[in-house]
Amino acid sequence: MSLLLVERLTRSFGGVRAVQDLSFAIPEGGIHSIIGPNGAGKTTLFNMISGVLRPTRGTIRFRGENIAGLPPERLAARGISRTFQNLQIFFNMSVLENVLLGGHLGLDRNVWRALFRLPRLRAAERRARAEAEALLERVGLAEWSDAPADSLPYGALKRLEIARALAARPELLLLDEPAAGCNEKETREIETLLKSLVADGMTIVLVEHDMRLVMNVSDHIIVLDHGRMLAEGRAEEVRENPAVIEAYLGQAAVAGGHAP
Amino acid sequence: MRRLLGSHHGGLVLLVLAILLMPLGFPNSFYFDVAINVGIAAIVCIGLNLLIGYAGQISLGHAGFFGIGAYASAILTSTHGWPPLLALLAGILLSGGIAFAVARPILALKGHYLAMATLGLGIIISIVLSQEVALTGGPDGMPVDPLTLFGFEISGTWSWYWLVGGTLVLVTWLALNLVDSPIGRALRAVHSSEIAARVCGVDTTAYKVLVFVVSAVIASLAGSLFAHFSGWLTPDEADFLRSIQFVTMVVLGGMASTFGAIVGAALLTALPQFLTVFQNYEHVMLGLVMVLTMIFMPRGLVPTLALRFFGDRS
Repeated sequence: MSLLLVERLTRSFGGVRAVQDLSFAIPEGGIHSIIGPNGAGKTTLFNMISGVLRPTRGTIRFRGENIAGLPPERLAARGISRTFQNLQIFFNMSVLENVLLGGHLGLDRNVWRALFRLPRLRAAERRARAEAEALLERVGLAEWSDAPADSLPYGALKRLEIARALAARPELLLLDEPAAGCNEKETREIETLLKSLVADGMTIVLVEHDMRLVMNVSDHIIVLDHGRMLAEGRAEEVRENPAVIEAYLGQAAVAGGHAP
Repeated sequence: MRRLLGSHHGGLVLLVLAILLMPLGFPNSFYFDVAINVGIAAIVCIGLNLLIGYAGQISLGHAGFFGIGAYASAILTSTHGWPPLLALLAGILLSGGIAFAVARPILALKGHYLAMATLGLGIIISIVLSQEVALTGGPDGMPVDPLTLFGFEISGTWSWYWLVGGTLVLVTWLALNLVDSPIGRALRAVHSSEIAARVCGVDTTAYKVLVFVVSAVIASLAGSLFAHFSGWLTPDEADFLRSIQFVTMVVLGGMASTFGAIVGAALLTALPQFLTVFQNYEHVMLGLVMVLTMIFMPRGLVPTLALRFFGDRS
C-alpha cells in the first residue's frame, strides 16, 4: 500500500487553478522529489498535504485514510512533519527549545505537572533534552544548542528546521526547498543528511530547485507544470523525457540554472 | 551574579531576599502600604505577561477579571457571610469561567481586533459593576470584611506584607515553571509563528484559551486580596485605566520576562505614590511611559538591562 495517495486533487485561488486534478502515489521509504517551474503548484501541493491549505476538491490518503482538510496539528499527530520554504523558526527561543517544540506531542503536556514542576515532568524533560541534543548533533548544530535561534546563520537555520521536524518522529517528512539559499558546502551537508534519514527508513517528499541535489538523492521524481502532472519516474527517466526538457529543464538552462 | 540570575530559579531567590530585606529600610507604614499594592499589581502582571509577553495575545480588559475577583470576595463575604477563602475561590471560578467562555471567539481575532474585543469585555464588566447598585453599591463602592484564613484574621501591615509577599513568590514560581515546560514553549511558539506551531502539533486555539484563563484566574486572585486589603471597593478598580496600567507595567518591565513584570508593577505603582506630579497627570504619564518604552527599549527594562550587563537573555 502507498504511504501517501493523492487522487484528483484540485485547489483554486479565485479563478486560478494552482493544482488541478493531480493524482500520484508515494510508496513507503525513499526520497520523492516534486519539481517544476515557478508557479507549477509545488508549494500549494505541500500546503494541502500538510493541512495548511484545504483542497478545493480531491482526496489525500495517508496510510489509507483520507486526511484532506484536516488541520496541521492533527496531521502532526498522525506522523506528517514539514519544513517551510521561507523559514518559520521560533526566533524567541533557543536552538534546543525549537527542537523540543518539534517533539511537542511526545512531551508531558499536563498543566498541573508543569505548574508545580513535578518529578515526572522533570524526568520527561531531561529525556526530551537528551533526544533533542542528539538530533542537533545529527544535523551538525550541537555546539549551537543553547544559543538563541536568531543568532544562527541562514544555512544553519535550514538544518534547525529539519531537526525540529525530525523531533516529531514523523513517518512522512515534507521538505520545502531545504537547500534554497544554501552554499555548495551546506547543500552537500543537507544531501548527506537526507540520505542518512532514508537509510533509517524515513519517507521524504522534497520540493527543491537545486537540480543537482534532486538528481543525486531522488528515488522518484514527479514533475508538475501549471498544476498538472507533466511526468513521473526515476531521475534518469525524467531527465530524458522530452516534455520535461521542453517545459522545465530547457527553461532552467536558458535562465542559467543548474541543468543536469 | 550572572550564574545566579541565569539559573532556573536564581531570580526567585533574589525575589525572596528582596521581600525579606526590604522592610528593614521602611521608615513607616506608608511604605508597607505601597509595597503591598506593588505586590498585588505584580501578581496581576505576572499572569498578564504570560498572555501578552509569552503567548503574544493582547488584553486591554484584564482589570475586569481583577474586579470580578475583588467584588466576588466583597459581596460574598460582606453581604452573604461566606468564609473569605471560599469567596476567593468562587471569584476564581467565575473569572476563569467567563474567560473560558469568551476566549474562543475573542482569541480567534488578531492584533487590533483582539485589542478591541478585550477592551469591550473589560468595559462591559466595569459597567456591570457600577450599574448593579443593589449588589455592588454602585460608583460609591462597598465595604469589604477583613480577610480571615483558617481562623486567623489578617490585619495590620506586617501580616498583609507577608501574605502578599508569599503569594507573589508562589505565583512567580508557578509562572517560571510554566514558562519552562512544554506548555510554556508552546505559548512562545504561538507568539512566534502560529503556522509552524500547528505543524509541530500545537493546538494553538487550546493554548490561547488556556493562557487567557490562567491570566484571568491570577488577576482574580489578586483582586480578591486587594478587596480585603483595602477594605473598601469601588468600580474604579475594574475600569479601563486600570487595565491600561497593567498592560503598561508589563510592557515597561519587559515582555516575556516574569521578573520584568514585577519590576514594571513596582515602578508604576510606587512612582505615583512618591511623585505627586505623576499622580496628577497619571493618564499622560502612562502614555508617555508606553511611548518612550516602545521607542527606546521595545524589549522592556529587564530584558534590555540583562542584555546590556550580562550579555544574555534574562
